[in-house]
Amino acid sequence: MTDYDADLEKLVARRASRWIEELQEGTPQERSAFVAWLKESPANVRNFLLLSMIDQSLEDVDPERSHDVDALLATLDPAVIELPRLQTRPVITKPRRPRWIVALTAAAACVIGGSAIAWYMRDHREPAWRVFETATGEQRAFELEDGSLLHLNTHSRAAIHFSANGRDVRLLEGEALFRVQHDAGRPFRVYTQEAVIQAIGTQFNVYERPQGTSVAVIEGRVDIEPTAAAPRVIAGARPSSSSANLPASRGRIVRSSEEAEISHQGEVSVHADPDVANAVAWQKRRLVFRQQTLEFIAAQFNRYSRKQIRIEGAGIANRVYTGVFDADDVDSFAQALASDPRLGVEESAQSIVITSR
Amino acid sequence: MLSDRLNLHAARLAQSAFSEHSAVLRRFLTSRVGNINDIDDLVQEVFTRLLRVRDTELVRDPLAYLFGIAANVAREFLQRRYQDSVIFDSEVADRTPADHERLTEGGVAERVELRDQLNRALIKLPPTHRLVILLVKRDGLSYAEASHTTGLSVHTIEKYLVEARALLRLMLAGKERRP
Repeated sequence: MTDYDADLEKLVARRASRWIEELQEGTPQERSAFVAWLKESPANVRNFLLLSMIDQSLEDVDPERSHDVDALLATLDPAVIELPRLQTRPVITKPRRPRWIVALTAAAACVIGGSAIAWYMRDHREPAWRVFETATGEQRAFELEDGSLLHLNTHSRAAIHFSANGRDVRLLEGEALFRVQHDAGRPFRVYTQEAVIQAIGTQFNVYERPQGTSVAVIEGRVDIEPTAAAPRVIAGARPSSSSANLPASRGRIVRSSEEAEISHQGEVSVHADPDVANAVAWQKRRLVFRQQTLEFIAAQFNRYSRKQIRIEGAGIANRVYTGVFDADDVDSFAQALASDPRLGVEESAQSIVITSR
Repeated sequence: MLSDRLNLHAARLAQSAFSEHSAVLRRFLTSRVGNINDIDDLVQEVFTRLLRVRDTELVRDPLAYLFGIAANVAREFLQRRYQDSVIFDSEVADRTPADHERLTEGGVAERVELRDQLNRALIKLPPTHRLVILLVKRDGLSYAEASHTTGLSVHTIEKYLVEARALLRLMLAGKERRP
């Protein structure tokens, strides 16, 4: 069984499992959709039969009641608890690239200090390329000035230039996940060695590899234009004019759940990657803070973690931070705070104490 | 909650469609006497017969049709297998059931076998998946009650259940594919 077959099998099994739920409602539309799905392929029939059998048999499961529900409840991962009061977004990860998942869970998410925001404000009128980068083992999420999110994977570098006519990103190295805010007047374009990727939809992953560029579309669609002459980026330089006049129609459209490979020669191959928009997304919860006080952020973490954050320094509770964090990883927040020279961070098994320096 | 109770009712109805034919289907699907090709053959035959039923007809009660057809096919296959056995193996022939009833009744051994497989697979599920299965399936809680117990939303409970079931099916497939 190839990886692709295994992924497909997973997908069909999940779909079949979902039908069992959906058929409980049993509207005529759903029944009709179900019939169409059954008639699609024997694999669907096979999976639905097996899933039905499993579903029924599960009622006989664990007859000795050897599993302790209370113990499981106690270990309930705080990351899966819903955070209705916060702007949270599921992390979209590519399951076939586990290092990205590892990075997302393990690595410290970033805090863009007030200084970075201020930097943007100041330089907004003089467009220049701004470089974002991560060290090896580090993983960061940046909120861009238009509200788009840029997640940089480990050892990655991207340069960004926003103007009135467009939003240009040069992926210099590594891998980035983009969640793009819609702005029809300012196309969002990502340049790699091999191609220009223009976002028509909202969410996609770009990976610059030695052998070429991979683009996976999670949501919406992107337009890929192979090019040997992606604009060279020098920090502080203006983008070349060619980038602004890109004809959108010549490119190759890649839709959600598809992945494209672009070679050095400019060949684009597109294949279906049904696991791109994987259901694992809901398993991970993020905390997104925009210009929130340290006190507020600490309170949110304290709601979901046994390890409690205490703020002891005078006048730091109202300090404002922006950042994206894994809800289940309070340590990443502590590490991020530790990088602020104005703060002292003392971490023990039970608590994190933040003091003023 | 009324909607929850209605759901449960509908679920029982849907289950009864399977329950009605479950003995023969379970016997077939978990059958270790047969092999993986048998299951593929069965599925192919069920699929072919499904295609012959008009959509308007199927949509009325798809589950009853599907399980009904599957049970018929399974019954035919099991019969044929016993007949084949007679030709090749006199010992098996001795154990061949005298009448068709034996093909569909009981299935206790398969039921226990499947339950044991599921119990083993359950341990390998991530904790939250396992928790939701235990609450909803073993303990028979409604989604609303499970939601109340765990602090997860009903929607999330449902998602875990869907995912857990799919994972279990994939784990069982590993076994099933063993020669």
